[in-house]
Amino acid sequence: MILDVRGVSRSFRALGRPPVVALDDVYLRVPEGDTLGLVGESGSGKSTLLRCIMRLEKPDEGEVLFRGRDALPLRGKNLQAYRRQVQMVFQDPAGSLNPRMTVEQLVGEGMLVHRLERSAARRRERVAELLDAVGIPPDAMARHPASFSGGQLQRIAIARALAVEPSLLVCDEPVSALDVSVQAQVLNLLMRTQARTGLSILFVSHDLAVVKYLCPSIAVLEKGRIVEESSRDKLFQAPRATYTRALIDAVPNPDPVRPGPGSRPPTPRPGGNDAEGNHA
Amino acid sequence: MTKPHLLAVDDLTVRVPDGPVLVDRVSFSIGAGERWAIVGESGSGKSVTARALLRLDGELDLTGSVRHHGRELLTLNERDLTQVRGRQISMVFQDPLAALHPMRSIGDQVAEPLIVHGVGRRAARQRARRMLDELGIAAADRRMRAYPHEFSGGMRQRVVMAIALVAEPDLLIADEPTTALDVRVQQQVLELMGRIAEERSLAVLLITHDLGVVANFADRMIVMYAGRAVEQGSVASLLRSPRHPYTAALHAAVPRLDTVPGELQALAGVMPSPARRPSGCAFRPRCAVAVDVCATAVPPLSPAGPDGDEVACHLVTGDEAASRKAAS
Repeated sequence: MILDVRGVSRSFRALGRPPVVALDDVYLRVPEGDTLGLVGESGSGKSTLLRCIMRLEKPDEGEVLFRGRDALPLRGKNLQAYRRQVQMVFQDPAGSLNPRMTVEQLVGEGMLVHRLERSAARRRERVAELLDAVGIPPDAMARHPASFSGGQLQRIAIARALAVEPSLLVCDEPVSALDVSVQAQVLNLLMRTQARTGLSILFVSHDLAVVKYLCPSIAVLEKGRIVEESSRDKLFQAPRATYTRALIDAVPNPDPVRPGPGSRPPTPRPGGNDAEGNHA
Repeated sequence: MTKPHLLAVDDLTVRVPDGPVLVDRVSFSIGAGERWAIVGESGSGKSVTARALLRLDGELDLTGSVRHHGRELLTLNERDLTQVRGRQISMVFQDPLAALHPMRSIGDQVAEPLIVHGVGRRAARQRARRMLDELGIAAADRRMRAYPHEFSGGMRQRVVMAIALVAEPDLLIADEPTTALDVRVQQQVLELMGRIAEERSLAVLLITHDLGVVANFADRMIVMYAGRAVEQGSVASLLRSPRHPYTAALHAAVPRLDTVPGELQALAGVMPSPARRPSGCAFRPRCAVAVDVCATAVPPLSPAGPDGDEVACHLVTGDEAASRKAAS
């Protein structure tokens, strides 16, 4: 296991109100070189859990083991090393990239902070390689975030995270703000990168179709508790939690289902379910 | 048909003064109680089109025609237009928090359209309360006195819908109403909107980038790319067998529950901005099957198929398609 979250709890207290339990005894494991999907709605505690893993929030109880070693007490050099190993990609790329920095600075910053490439020329070369890997043209280096679309920014954010050669990538709804065509680009990029480098991924989303596409195993978080954790196939064939069932049912299917008032009766699909339209 | 359509849009063109054309000759007609969707990626011009119907962006040049029950809206004076906005045609926006006033009570805000249109305060508040009730907001009496920050995202979107529907319009324009919401809440809001549309025979024009939402909600759809309609017609036929390569690519890029890992078909490249629209067909640089003529002539929207479907592609209509068929 690259990441082993054990019994993490976190609650928030507001004056004069009962405490809000954001995380209640959460257990979660990400296997080395693999992808774990974490599903839940807003308010389920997803973000608090990620913040605890990233050491941006301190849990009240529990351990966050990274390759067998608890990351919560880490300080100084060890903490810095942990933060290099575990990188995060945020939901809103426009909000997570400094608008005053060029793409070269943004992607190269981590290498500078962690002293991975001291020579500016080598750094530049690495940035060009990384941009190439995420499909951004090299002439983008001198430009600022404002001149890119959302999908391009998210790919730049991924290049920035990969620049320090992390072992675990934590993705918080990385495609939910993107258009479908671009969403597919980013998902395929993550899969390709994993196949090439053996990166482990913790992928958070509320879209079960996306999670099913990317993640061989999936955990479901509801109101701060893991209510189900199983393999992709099991989860979709026989979801145990009613909450999981509801999430699966809510996935919008892009194939027409509604005959609709005043419209013609639906044409029968020849050969059952495979009349999907020809997208060759 | 002798009866004028509820909304008839003809060659609607939106232009930045001395600048690019944002929407290029879009035409469609919505009948009473029909459910339409405009689909496209960011920058396709779908929201600009929707906002132009009510002339919400005063600084843009609009040409063509938008008729509501036969009355031209593009040349209507401001005062008469105010009578149409919110009362006959109303609109719901993407971000409910931005659409609500943070310091006025929910009740005040839902009753406001009625008061603007001349209904007395008391009656307006009563109708506002009933509207909230109808939209599934429990304890509507108490909630009338609450403020937007006390509501969740899904509840806020219901409140915004209550404001849009309280004056009983016959057309609702909904601009990405569920994009900011979780899948389950999205499902609830769409079901609610569908139920109310049916009960009141309200026509809905839904603006979205999500084909899943379209498939579950609309009967007819318009696919927009770089400011132009590239394909329009019945949702059932367009999503089952898309004719335009862009519609097909968009449809193939949606991950579904049965997509095999590794086989999601991404659409390479990005949509051009209106100022840099390529010559001929705007989709040509990203199109896998483009031929020479695509670079020189803009394909017109032409009839294709039995359901009144139309498509703008040289390979589906026109000489190119004919010669291809002859060759095969």
